[in-house]
Amino acid sequence: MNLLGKGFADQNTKIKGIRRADMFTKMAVSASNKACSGFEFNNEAMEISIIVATLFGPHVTTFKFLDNLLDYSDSGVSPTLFSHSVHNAAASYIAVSLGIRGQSLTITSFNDPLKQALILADAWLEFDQTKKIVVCYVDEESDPLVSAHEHCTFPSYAEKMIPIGAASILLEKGSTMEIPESILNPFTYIEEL
Amino acid sequence: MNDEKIFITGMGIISALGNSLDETFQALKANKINDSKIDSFECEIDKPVFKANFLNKTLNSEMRTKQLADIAFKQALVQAEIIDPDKSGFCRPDLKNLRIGICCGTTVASQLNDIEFYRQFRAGRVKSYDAVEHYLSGNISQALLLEHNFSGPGINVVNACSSGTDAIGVAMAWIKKGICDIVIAGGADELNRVPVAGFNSLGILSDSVCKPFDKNRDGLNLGEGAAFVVLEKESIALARKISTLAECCSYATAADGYHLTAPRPDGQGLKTAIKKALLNADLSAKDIDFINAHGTATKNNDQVEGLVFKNMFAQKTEVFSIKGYTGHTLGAAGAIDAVMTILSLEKQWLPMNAGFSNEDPDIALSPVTENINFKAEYALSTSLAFGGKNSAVIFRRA
Repeated sequence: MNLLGKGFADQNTKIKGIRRADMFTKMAVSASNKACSGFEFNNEAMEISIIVATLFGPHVTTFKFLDNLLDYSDSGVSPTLFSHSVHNAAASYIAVSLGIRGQSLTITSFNDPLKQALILADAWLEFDQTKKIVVCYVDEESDPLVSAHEHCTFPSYAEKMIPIGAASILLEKGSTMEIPESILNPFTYIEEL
Repeated sequence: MNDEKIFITGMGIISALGNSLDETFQALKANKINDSKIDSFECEIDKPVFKANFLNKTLNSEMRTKQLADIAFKQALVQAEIIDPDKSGFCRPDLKNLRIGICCGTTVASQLNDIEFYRQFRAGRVKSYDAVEHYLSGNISQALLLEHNFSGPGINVVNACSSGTDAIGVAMAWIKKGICDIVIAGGADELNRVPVAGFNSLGILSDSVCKPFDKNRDGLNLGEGAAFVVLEKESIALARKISTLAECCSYATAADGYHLTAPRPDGQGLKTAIKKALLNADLSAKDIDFINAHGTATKNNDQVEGLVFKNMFAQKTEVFSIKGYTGHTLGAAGAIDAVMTILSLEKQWLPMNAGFSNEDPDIALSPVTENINFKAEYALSTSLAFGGKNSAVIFRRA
């Protein structure tokens, strides 16, 4: 693969069309817009793809939805919160924001999700399923998850850090970029590319 | 890139139709519609659902989604002769050198949405973090990798309602790329208060049993279940002398880039996914003998799918949706569709599209109205999802 661009989330950036989105999605869109800065996809929208990788997804919104359930009952919940609690909302907003209409995938893994996303990106590029691909890593912090992280024992997640923020890269077919054996910190890895 | 064919060598399924392939087939033959009331959790919403009926006391502490996954996963492994039915879940010794990955679609299992845990957390009185442990251990692909001692990789696809289909697409990419020899791919999701309340808030749950493609359709029913297929590189299947159930010919997916919850009205995203899947398989639309549609029975979904099918395929191409028998099983739906598609190719048989009686003049397409025997070589299965996702997978009769 060849690296064409990279970007990191700026939580204060105002991006047109994502006013209603949650912070998880805003970070993902911000990072992806920066990674694709200078590229126009209008004529090749079908040939540009997205893979979003995350450990835990938009759990802040999930907990807000649970607040709704507990405070207002099953029939009083917000449809906006529900639709934004779905993991692939971020990929959808990235597609709308950048005019991307190629392949789109959101994956979770507690074991190196960015590496898994890069392996798939490499395969899609090699098989000519896409010409360019945005790969975004995004995760956020919430009080329940921080607390859970401190108390859980399942297989030693307590010893691992949860990388918080979003970083995206734009890739094309090529041979200048190798996929590492493991990516300990997605942000450091992308920074050093 | 590996140009070898990819075959399906095992399948497993659990849903409201039954707890095995045979039970599923028998229930479909009898056109059984096992809808029920919500009774596995407290919920004030009174809508019909499709619940899987199973008892698995030994795994009582696990997430229900993981329990569903376990049942379908084991069936698939046994049929593909990867594990012995009577022994532990570990891979047969003669297969230990094979690279075996797992890719599972889900929605509920990807979220830490245990309401009791969160209620206690809000009150500052967490009694137990078991819910978190269950959530972490319920990361289905990784848990199954550990339990069966497979080499991996293992990831969950969280593309909402197309996740099961997309998991099969990921599996194909891993095999073609040479990362895996065998991949067990599918999906699992449980009935849960969060999606019930969420889909209800969107106003797309029907008060009655759903009617895919019918003029009077008024929404979907939620369901639960799991399904897995074993995808295997041709050379490995030949060397193992294992029976093949179908060829997995191609997969493609396309984003609408349009709206978070509504499909693009012109169906361009779905058309693109289908065209790419046909191209990848070196087929044309006339080669497709039947389509296993997403067919959720919402106004928008069925209209978009119906119009695309009408526009792209010949009248002889049969269309069917299983949602009238299983409800919409979210992350499992694409995998249940895949198993149903392969089963239909194998049996050369299709059940009637439950719930359909009146053609919608805005679509002008009638799905299968009675159980039929037919000749089919290629079948297409489509999935649409929140976020403007469209996915298509093509199978060929073995």
